[in-house]
Formats: sequence, structure tokens, C-alpha cells
Amino acid sequence: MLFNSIEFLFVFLPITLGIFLTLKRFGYGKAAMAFIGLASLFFYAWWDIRFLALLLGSVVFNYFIGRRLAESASHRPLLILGIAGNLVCLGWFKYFNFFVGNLNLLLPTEITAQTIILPLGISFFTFQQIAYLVDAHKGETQESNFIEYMVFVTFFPQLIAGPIVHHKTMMPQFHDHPVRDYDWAKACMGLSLFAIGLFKKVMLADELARYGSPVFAAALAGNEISLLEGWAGSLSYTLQLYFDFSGYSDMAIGLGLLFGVRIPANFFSPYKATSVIEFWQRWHMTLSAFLKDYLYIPLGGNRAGRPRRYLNLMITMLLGGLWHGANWTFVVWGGLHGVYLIINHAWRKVFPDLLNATPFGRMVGWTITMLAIVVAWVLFRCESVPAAVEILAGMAGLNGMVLPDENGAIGALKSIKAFYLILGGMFIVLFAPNSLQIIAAAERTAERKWYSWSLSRRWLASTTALLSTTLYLIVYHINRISEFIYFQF
Amino acid sequence: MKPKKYFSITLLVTLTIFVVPAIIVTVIDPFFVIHKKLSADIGFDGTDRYQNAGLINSFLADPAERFDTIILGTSMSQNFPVSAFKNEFGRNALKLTLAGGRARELGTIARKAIATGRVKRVVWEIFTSFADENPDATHKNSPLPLFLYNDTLADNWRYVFNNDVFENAFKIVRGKIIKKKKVKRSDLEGLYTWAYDDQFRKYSEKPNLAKLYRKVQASNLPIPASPPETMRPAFPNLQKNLFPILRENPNIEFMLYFPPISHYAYAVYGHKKFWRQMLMRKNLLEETQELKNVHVYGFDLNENISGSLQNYMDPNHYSPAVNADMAKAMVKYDRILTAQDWKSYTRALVRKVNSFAENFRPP
Repeated sequence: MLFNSIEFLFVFLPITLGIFLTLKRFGYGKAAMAFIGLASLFFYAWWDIRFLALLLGSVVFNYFIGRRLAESASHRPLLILGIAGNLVCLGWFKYFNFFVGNLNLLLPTEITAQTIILPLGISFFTFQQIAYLVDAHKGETQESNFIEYMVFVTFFPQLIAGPIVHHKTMMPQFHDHPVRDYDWAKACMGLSLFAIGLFKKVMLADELARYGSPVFAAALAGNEISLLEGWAGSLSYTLQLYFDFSGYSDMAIGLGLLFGVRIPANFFSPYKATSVIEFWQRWHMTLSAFLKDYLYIPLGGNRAGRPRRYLNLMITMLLGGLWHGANWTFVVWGGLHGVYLIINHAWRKVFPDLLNATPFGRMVGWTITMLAIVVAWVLFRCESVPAAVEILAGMAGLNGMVLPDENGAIGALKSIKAFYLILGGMFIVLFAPNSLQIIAAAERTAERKWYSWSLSRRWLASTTALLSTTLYLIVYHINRISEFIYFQF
Repeated sequence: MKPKKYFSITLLVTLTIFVVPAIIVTVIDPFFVIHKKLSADIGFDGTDRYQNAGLINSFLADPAERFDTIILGTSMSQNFPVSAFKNEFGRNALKLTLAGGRARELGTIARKAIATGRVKRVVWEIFTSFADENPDATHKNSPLPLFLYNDTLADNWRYVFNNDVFENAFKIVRGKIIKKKKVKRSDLEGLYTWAYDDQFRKYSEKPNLAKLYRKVQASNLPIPASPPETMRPAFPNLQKNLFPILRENPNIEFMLYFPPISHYAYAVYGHKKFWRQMLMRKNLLEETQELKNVHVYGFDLNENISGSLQNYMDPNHYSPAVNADMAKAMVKYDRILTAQDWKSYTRALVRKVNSFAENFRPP
């Protein structure tokens, strides 16, 4: 069930929220909490009920190992068993065929690939629980009962696509959730954030995909990609990915607030970054934090000299790339970002303030960063390395430039109008405040600004406009049929 | 503002804005799916995928409207003059054609129309999709909204909450109420008809004929007199989307016809495609020979029609005059084909197509 699906918006969410509020209203806080857990399991099972057992098995396995680790923190073999159990599960579902395929290429083996369906959200709930086990081993986890733990892992707003929540921020909230009064002001803020996220997904990301996707499909099919086509495709995808993922995260945070839980932010205007280091402090922040705390620092971080630091960075980014998917394009993408980060750190060491000192310097920094990121997204998006090379060649002008035909199309690019949408999207990502900035004043973490969320008529009108527009698009457009343009038999 | 009030107003206003278009659709009902016309001067819309459902629900099903004949087919049947099928009892014909309609879609419309209990005669074009392999296929770009043609009333929400339908309803509201003008829509006689004079003219002009000549030269000709030995095709579209309907309704007269596409079209078809079509026709003739309620018509052998490109605007689409001639022939039971005719019919067709190709000269 996706957040922008009709069944979620018109059935699951109203019913779940209605029952939850009723239970809270009549003082059944613990029952409300358990109900969230059940609803989350239903939410997961809606996709494929067979994998509910896997999710529950993973929760039970990690809960009991976590408890044992918390009781005797020095139990290292148990920690290894716990982490290995999680990684074997993830490895089987996500990486087995990738591994076998590559092994068969390298060695004279003929291991048969298996038909394996990737369980939804497995990368997220596996990482979340590995972090829990590691911290339990360190004695840094708070005692919790099974229901609290289950809701921590399965809480539906963050279950299938993050943010990767950390037990330190979530467990205390779930622990006192049953006795806390429902915060209607936070719920209102959640509604607005949900509306913003839904708008980003439906009105921006999906629209951009209409232009970008055919270009990538054409490259995969072996077609030559020209200059404008290549740039339109790559920039559309760059923006689509941000609006899609950050929109989803906004919806997750908004939904969390509707159920009285504050989920951490995942994005902070990443395309405003003037360096790749800064980009990673703003993009998929919960994954960056996880990789830093549970991979980069255990590898030695920056404590063992510069060469070792760069090596650790590269390992972290390569594995971070592989986490996104079992394909060499993700590994190359991670490696490319590893190289970017190494260059960025080396540059900073030699010229600490050269680019950040002046507006011109920041502009140069932004341009280089953006270019590097767009190039890397091409690898991220393409299903094969040759297709990515084809698009990059097009962007570099190696395939020449083709002007739009009479209908405004250029090859696989349906219309040159894509550039208007790209310009509009760029304007939003560069000049509009992000969701975290919007709610900062209400959360008392920043001063009030013109855009700050409040219980005002302005925000009521904005939320209503965003919600009704996107709901109209979702529902009224799903049933339409495309117009029959010409007779085709 | 108090948070609870903010929350309630947001949801209430959002839901109100959200349902207003649906209310407008329900009241205006531009395709008459839910109820009959609000005003007599609101005509019919050419969006056949929606309009056919409304024609069945609000017109065919209504005894007062006196319809007993339906016309099914693709864009090649859209130019039939419905009045030509008006019978001696004064009952009228209703066009339920579907541009680009696939066999399954036409079968679905037929079933829904027949379920009204008012259909006595069906004029049905049998074209290429009945020879296709997938009996469940719908049109790739413009599929029939199947939710309007099933028995599940609850599915009607997909009609009510629908951007296409709302746009049409809004046009009526704007025209009738705001601008106080008659909304440009069709009557039943003119519904779905098309006649692109310019395109008919251009098709037989020199530059196009030169292009067609090159295509004929590049084609694999002549077409052999009989199908390849190895060709034993099955026709699941006939089995699923036609024969059951013919057999289940012995009291309904079915007038099935093969549309007279141009000899040029057959010449550039390729052997395999040509013979697959012909074998589909053979299968249909054989399976229906025992059915007294079925008549099959073939119009391809008339060289004045199929052999003259002036009648066409592309390889398949013939002029409205051809439809009128066919209608006249059909009501007189002229040009009927039987299973016994198939061999001579296909031989004659192959000869005519090959001869057309051979004598086709550059302009």
C-alpha cells in the first residue's frame, strides 16, 4: 500500500486514525499502541501476506537477541549471531542472484539463479535492527516491552522506505506514548506535512518521470541519446528522485505526527549544497548517520591517518551504494561518491575556505557539486552501465545535438516542455524552504519566518489547496482513459 | 485557531472541494450513464468508450426509445447510416461502435446491450482483432473502461470520480448555464460519424500514390493461392468473444460482416497475416453454418470499392458511401457468404489483390 494509493488515503488511513483516536479518547493508551502495531502489520501484509511471517520473524529474533545482549552486554558471539542472522536474511533476498550471477561470470560455475521476491522494506528494517543490536551490546538501549519494540520496527509510516529510525529517538516516544495526551497541534502540523509530501510526489515527481523515464528506457534499448535529450533525462531524474523520496519522507513524518510520533527528518535541501560533503549531510540523512555510526566509525573513521580515512570512506560509500540495490550501477554510483568525498576532503585540507569565503566561490562550489551529483544519478538510475555511458555521452555532446521536431519532441524526450518543469523544480529546490525549516518554529528550534507553519488561516488554506489538488489528481485521473488520437487497429 | 478546529476545517473543506466535481458529474451525467438527459437539447458525445455505456443504460434499455438493432464494430462501422437499419416495425438502430475496438471490447459491449433484453438484431463488423491471439486484450492506449460494462453497480464511482467525465460535464455547465448556448454535440444519426474529405482526396493524389507504389513493389507478392501447409492457427478471440454470444442468443439475428478494406492493404499485409485473416473467416463460417440466426457478409470482392483507392483515406478506412451501400445490401441479405463459399471467395480475393498489385502503376 503506497501513501498515494486510493486504498491508503481513503480506507486504511481514515479507519486506522479513527480507531486510534477513539482508543486514545477513552483512555486506552496501551490498546492504541498495540492497535498501531496491528495496523502496521496489516499495512505490510497488504503488499504480500507471505512476507508478514518474515517481518514478524525478524522482529522476534532481534527482540530476544537484543534483550539478551542488554542483559549481558559483553556477549559478543550473540551480537555476531544477531548481525549475521540479519545479513544472511538480507543477503539471500537481496543479493543472492547478484552474487551468483557474478560468480558464474568469474568462475566456471553454473549455479542456478533463484526466483526470489525482494520483501518490501527489508533493507530498512534490517539496518534499523542491526543498529539496535549493536547499541544493546554497548548497553545503550532502553528497556522496552515487545509491543513497543514491534511498533518501533513496523510503524507503518516508516516501514517500507524509511527514514531509518534509531531506537534512541523512537523508543522513548513509544515508551510514554500510552500515557501521553494526543497533541492536536502536532497532528495539524502532520496533516500539512503530509499534504506537502503528497504534492511533491504526485504533482512534481510523477510529472518529471513522464519526461525522464523514456530517455532512460531509450538508452537501455541501445538508442543514441543527444545533448538536450541527455540533459533533460538526467535533470528530470535528479529532481524526480528528490521530490519522490523527500515527498515520501515528508508524508512519513506527517503520518507519524498524526499518530503522536516524531519521525526524524531525512532531507534538508540537499541540492542547495555547495560541496559533496555537505550534500551527504543533507541527503538521506538517516542513512548517512547509520553508515557513519555503524560502518565508517567502526572501520576506524578518521582516527588512523589520512590514507586509512579515505579507504574507510570508499568502503562505506561502496557498501552504501550496494545497499541501494544489487546491481553494479549502484556500486559504481557509491564508488563515484566515494571518489567525490575523498577529493572534497583532500581539497578542504589544502584550501580550507577557498570556495566558501565568497558568494562567487559558493556558486562555483554549487555548480561543481550539482554537476557531480547529476552525473552520479545517471549511474544510479540506469539499469546497465552501458546505458549510463550512453546518456553521459549524450550529455557531453558526443552524440551531437538534435533540435526539437514540429511537436517539440527530441528523440525519446516527449516534449521540450520538460525544461520548463525542470526550471520550476530547480526553483523550488533552490529557493523554497524545506519541510524541516517550515516546522522549525513550531518545534521551537528556530525563529519564526514568513513560511513558518502555524495554526493560521494561511496554512489552513495552503494545506487544503495542496490536499484537494493532489487528491483530485490521484482519484479523478486514475479512472480516465487517454483520448483516442488516431485510428489504430 | 484551535487545533481541533483547524484539523476539522482542513478535512471538511478538502473533502468538499474533492466531491464537488463528482456531484456535478452525477447531476449533469454527460454520457447519460446514470440517468437520462436533463434537457432534450443536450446531444451525444463522440467519446465512444463512455458514450456507449450511456446509450445502453439510458436509451437501449428504455422501451419508450424503440431501439432493437445495434451496430458493433470499429471506426470502419462508424459511418453506417443508422436509419438504413430501421425495420418495418419502425424500430431504430443504435450505433455502439468503438474506434480501434478489440474483440473482447466489442464482445463486452454486445453482452451488456443484449442483457437489456431489447436487442433483436446485431450488425457486427469482424475485423483483424478477431484473429489476434490474446482474447483478453483491450486497446493499448485507449482501453474500454470495463467498469462501465459490468454488473457491479459499485464500480460506478470510477465514472463519477473521473476527470474525463468531469471535463465533459463542465463543458455542458459552461455552455448551457454560464454562456446560455447550445453545447455542440451530435444527434444519434450523426453520432461517431467521420468524413475527412481532405484526407480522402490526398490519399489518391500523385505523391501518395507514388509512395504506395513503392510499398507494393517492396511487398512479398504475389500472395499464394492457398495458406502455407504448416499454418494451423487457433482463434481464441472467436471462441471467447463471439461464438458464445451467437449461441446463447438464438432469438437475436446476427449480421456479421467482413469490412471491405482496400486491395492495396491486402497486398502489403504479408502472406502470413493475410492467410491468418482468411483462416479466421473460414473458422467463423464453419462454426456458424448451423446457426440459423447468423448471416455472414463479405464485401471485399467488389472491385469498384476495394480496387479503387479513391474510396479510401488510408489502407483500411473507406468512405461513408461504402457504408451506405453495405447497409442496403445487408438488409436485402445480399453478399452473404457460407462455409462452402470460402474457397472460391478467397481464391477470387487473392486473384483480385494480385492483379491489383500487378497493374498498380506509378502515377
